Amino acid sequence: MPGLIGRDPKEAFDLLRNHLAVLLNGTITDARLSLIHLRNEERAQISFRQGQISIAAPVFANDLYLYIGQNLRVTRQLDRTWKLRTVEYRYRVQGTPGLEDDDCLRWEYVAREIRDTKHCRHHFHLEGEYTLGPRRVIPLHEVHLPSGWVTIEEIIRFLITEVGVRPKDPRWETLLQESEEVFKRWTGRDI
Amino acid sequence: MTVMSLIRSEVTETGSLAREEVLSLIGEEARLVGLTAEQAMAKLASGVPVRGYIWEDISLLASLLSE
Repeated sequence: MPGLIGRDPKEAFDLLRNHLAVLLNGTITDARLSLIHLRNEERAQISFRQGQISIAAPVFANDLYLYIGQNLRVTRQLDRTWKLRTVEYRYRVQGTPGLEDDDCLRWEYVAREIRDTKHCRHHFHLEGEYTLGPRRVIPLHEVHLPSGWVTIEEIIRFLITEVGVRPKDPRWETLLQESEEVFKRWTGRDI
Repeated sequence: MTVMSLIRSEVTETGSLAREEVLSLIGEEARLVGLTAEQAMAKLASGVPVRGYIWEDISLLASLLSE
């Protein structure tokens, strides 16, 4: 069975946090990912933090900022190890570090066990409106555009190839591919 | 000092926190938008539209505390 497994909850959370931190710091940002593990419980959150406050991290040699937030859970296996899964993610790319800046691209996922919504669990938002046919104006910040599972690797790839973020390492593509291989082993998911 | 080096020097990794400490973190972030932790969580629960990544983070932290 694939899975990101730890001998205890904190070890499983640290494995993911450390993996993502190395990937992000090797490719697009120097900001450090923080892990907040709710002590003695099976839950944790990761995001970039400056002191105690979360930040939208500056990406390398660009004027864009990236917020990453994930809520994680672990469940105990029959062999007494702990298996991790992401139950929520929020990725946001914005043009300022402003904490209430809403002019951004947003990718989100919320598992049904966290919030039982009717809309697509994996979705995308952006600002503005789209006119669909003669009578419908769709507010793009409100509707949940289906996206499928979006990995942090794909966000990094998007930033480098589409919006001019300069990779910190010329081997960025290899780093992403290696990270995606690890993701496949952990999740059993194809990307 | 560049923004990048500032980030590198000041961001600290956080470890295991008690529920009260997570609530305190929510309070720190809520203060930035002029609210207490309790007011921020009530606002999220009410479904009132909120703006910005700080609310994403408050929401994720609040979700950590929920049963």
